[in-house]
Amino acid sequence: MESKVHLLWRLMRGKRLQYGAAIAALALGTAVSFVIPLVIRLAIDGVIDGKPVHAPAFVLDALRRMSAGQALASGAGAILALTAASGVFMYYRSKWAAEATEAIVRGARDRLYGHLQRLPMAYHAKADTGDLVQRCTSDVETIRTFLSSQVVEAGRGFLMLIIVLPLMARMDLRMTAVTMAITPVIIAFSAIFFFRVKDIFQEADEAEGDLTTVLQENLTGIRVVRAFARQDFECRKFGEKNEIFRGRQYQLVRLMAWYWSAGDMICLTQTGVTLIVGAHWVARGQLSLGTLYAFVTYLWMLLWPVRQLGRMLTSFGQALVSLGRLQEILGQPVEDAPAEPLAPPDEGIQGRVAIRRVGFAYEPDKPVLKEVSVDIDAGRTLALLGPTGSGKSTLARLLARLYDYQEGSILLDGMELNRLDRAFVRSRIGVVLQEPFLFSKTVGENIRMARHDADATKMAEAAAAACIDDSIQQFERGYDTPVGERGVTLSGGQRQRVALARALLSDPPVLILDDTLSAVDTHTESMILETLKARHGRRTTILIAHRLSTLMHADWIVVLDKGRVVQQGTHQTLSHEEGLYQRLWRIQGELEEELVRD
Amino acid sequence: MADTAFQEEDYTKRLDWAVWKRIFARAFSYRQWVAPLIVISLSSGVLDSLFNLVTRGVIDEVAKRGVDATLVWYALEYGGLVAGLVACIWLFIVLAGRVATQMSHDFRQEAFARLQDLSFSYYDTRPAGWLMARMTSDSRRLSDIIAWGLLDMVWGTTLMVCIAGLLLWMNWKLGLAVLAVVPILAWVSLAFQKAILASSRLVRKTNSRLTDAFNEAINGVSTTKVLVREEQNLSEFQGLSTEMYDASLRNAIQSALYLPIVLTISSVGVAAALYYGGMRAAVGGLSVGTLIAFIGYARQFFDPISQMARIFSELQHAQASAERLFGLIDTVPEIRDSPEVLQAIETHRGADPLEGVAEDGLPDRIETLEFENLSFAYKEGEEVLKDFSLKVRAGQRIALVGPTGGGKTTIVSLLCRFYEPTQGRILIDGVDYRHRALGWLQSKLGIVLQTPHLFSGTIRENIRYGRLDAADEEIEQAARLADAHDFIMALENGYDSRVDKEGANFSTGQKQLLSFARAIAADPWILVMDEATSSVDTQTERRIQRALTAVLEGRTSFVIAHRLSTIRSADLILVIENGRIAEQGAHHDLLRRRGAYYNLYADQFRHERETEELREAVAPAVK
Repeated sequence: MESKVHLLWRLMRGKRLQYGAAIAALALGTAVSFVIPLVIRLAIDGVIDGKPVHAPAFVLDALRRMSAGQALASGAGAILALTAASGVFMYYRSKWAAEATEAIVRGARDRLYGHLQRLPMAYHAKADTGDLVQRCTSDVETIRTFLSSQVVEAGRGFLMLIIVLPLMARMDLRMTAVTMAITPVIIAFSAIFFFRVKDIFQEADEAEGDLTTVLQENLTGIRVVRAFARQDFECRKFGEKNEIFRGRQYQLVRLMAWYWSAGDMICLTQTGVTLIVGAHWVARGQLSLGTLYAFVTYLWMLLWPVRQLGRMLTSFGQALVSLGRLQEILGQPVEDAPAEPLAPPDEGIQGRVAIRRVGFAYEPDKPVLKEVSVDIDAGRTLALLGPTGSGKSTLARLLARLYDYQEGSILLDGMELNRLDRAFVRSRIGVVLQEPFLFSKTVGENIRMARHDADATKMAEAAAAACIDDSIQQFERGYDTPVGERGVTLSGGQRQRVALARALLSDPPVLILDDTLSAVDTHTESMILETLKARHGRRTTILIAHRLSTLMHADWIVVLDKGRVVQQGTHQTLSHEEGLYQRLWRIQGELEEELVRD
Repeated sequence: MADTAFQEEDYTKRLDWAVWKRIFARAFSYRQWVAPLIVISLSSGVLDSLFNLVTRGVIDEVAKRGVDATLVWYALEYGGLVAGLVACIWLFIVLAGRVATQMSHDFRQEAFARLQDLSFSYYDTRPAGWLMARMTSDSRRLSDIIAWGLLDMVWGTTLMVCIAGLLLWMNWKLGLAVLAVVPILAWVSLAFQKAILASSRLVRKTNSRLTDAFNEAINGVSTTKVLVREEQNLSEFQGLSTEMYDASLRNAIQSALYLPIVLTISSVGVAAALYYGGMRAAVGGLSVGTLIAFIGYARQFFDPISQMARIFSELQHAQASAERLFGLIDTVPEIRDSPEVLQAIETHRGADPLEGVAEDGLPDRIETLEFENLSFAYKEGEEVLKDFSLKVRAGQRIALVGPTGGGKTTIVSLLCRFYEPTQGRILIDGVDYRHRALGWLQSKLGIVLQTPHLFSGTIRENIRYGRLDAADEEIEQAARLADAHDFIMALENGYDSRVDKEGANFSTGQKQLLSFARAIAADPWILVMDEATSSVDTQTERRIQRALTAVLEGRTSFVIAHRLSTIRSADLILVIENGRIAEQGAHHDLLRRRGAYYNLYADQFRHERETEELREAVAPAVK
């Protein structure tokens, strides 16, 4: 895997120049702001004290021709103009840095989003959603903070030194040495402090996390709390964590108190030393007053960025950690495209599916499907039945190419599935999943998800076929009702039916219903099955279900157990054959027996 | 996320004095820290203003006396100032930190205690996320603004007053010239700070939408794939990430403009000082030291002004936080002991606990429970329970069956007094339960929920939650009865094994068994149970059925039942439909009627048998 710094560099592609421009603007702004003390120095020494001064020839020339009043007025004007000019540069520095940073961050977010969508299901099945979201939000934010403030700020400290040091040295070498005496101390102090305080920050974060957990569990389990009348107990429990968190926070504050007061002390002492030693030399005539003034001012300009150094290093460290966490996502390979893809036929897909000796395992040595062979003619309805974990849903996932089979072959209209483009397969073999996901859009948008061009009539037809049209009409805003937290909360059965309507609208040549009607009541289910019959002969349908009433009308029924096909046939043949199907079929009889016995 | 479900204004426009009076009263209760904090802030403002004065002294001394200048005194003065200021800085950070952390701690504790007493109707309208935000961000924001805001205000005001005084004292005409920029500086700063705050709120809001989008992308990834929605989703997301880009950039540019503009304005003061001061200094009317001090002060004004502008811009948000937080703390629980009951509890508190007498002075037993013409509506006009009457004797097992939304849960919620009936009464041995102590009733109740809730901690702690003084052997005994002992012992650390947040490291079946054990440890007189419908493997199912029998043994129980075995063994079955009892009686009688119960039973029979057949043949033992 590439180094983290390299990834950062790559993310900055196209924006590096802009950072360069920002740093240049900063350099110019800084340079200009450094002239201001020089102007004041000139005013004090040359105009007020009337001493000979060092200055560019044109300045001295101009000064000579001016009265004191004019000279001071131009000095004042120069201060204003220089501050404004420096401000303009500083504005551009911030603007350009922000533009570059925000563009990079937007790019990173888009890349993460796109990448996540294309990562294989095998990755998502193992990944922790909360952790992924955290990486895409908090870690990106950490990197953003670093980019927006520190990249240019790092340039600032450096520039300060290379611009201001020669300037100071040219004015007075001895004085420069005095002024810079404590700078290494403050750098070391700041760096060491931030390095040390990192753990305390983490402890405080953890204490807050513990507190939040207690609070959250209390709120979600409030019924349990009341049921056992544990209010006082909960208050004590919360109180303990609350106390710890307060302690940690206070500990942090005290550390910061030491940091800021000690830092201020070093800086103020440095200023005092510069002032007194400088004044001493002024008294001896070895230094001009204006120069002393300039030194004291420069010192303050220098100290601030130096004090930020520790923070900058910490921020860089954090950004590196976050980059590593993003890299772990971006480094994962996405769903691969077939090496030699088959060209899709011009005449469209008929919907003939042939499954030949297919084998599949999520984890090595734990096969979920073994030698499964099933044939479905175009336009027919196939039913899959089997106990939990028998491999029905896995088969559906293989057909949608959410996973790739490892043995055998699956042919769609005679074409090997693994050699067809995934998007092509998925738009021809539609799957309605067991626990369908609805997006936080309106009901209508959810139904039209795969067919944006469908008009309102088509949409309503699909909804009616899924027996959800009536329910939707009853919502205050009909099809424009948002789903989820911002709108209606749909029941499990309603969600399933919306998902079914979504699939029916796109009307794929092969439609797989993976236990899609499990939360729908028996009456509605039979109505839906009735409408599904319209597909018969035209489109291929694969039903995975538990209720015999759903399965019995299929053209062909396949019983899976532990990943193998154990029985297949029609309702007629299977109900006369010993096995799962027959046992289920007999339940009705058992019920009658039981009722009679009672 | 959850905030959207219960939205309200983020802040109110007008300053509300009542709220601020309360905030100040609150601050006053921390006076042992707040008083010194004010003194220290004041002192540091004064000290801050004196540095330029020492500089002036040094320069004038040197200018006047040349080689004869004695700088020792100035060095000492300066050193004294540094020492004093550094001590002040240390002290005010520590003090303000103390106030802020203590205050937010107290806010949280108070709000938490209040939440423990509030009725469920309060929770119904407020999502957990909303309540969490009150407890975390509001309490922190309010405490911070009180502690740090107070500090900055006092410091800033003192510093500005001192500087202004010193300027006028040194040379009043020049002073006035320099001070002329201050109002403009203040006005511009405030306007900017408000705009910056507003745009950073927009950034935060957009950011939470981004988080939602990522959440959705990950949770819905399989749906996205089967619908081939990747491109479409990405382009929608790019719209959102561009919104974020715009909002962030806007915020950044406002900040980028602020500093240069404010610095330029304050340099007008510097320029004025240089020009007017320089003119006077040139003719000897002003010392060079004073001139330098003037320039220094003109610069120094900028810092306190920008700090105070920031605080002013945050005041409205702090007020909104205070309103919400005080609103939570002030809410009176709808369901609580009446004054009469409280009086009774007070009277009996002093007396030695008598055998058979409850804390409210009434008999400590429950022989009969009577529901008398109960009606209930969560929302006005939408009755979910109508004229419900029932009489139950101690030890009876009642099964409640019927369609979802029929009113079964409402009945048990009323029994637990989580809600009170809108009409009718519930009588305990003939006494309206509103005349009994709430704590007494609830301590006699045990509840097993459909989705078992565990707390993070150890298994032992979770079972002990039922009875805090239970000995280890009693906990083990409860676990044995609930058939949980074996799987607990199979864990590496046995009863001391960690339970993760929300019990995430246990299977649903295991969580159910643990919640049974907890109920058994509590040994309640009345048990309310909402049977789980989730499918578990055969072996777990058997364990659960056994445990269930153990839990219900010898208690009065109300079970919202799904399992045939539970339903059949009930003394009385109630079929609840549309908020009424559709049928009631024992299993056989009801079957014979061939009505609602008959249909329910037949459906459930089929379902149970089908599930049984379709369960994984080789059932893995409880995970």
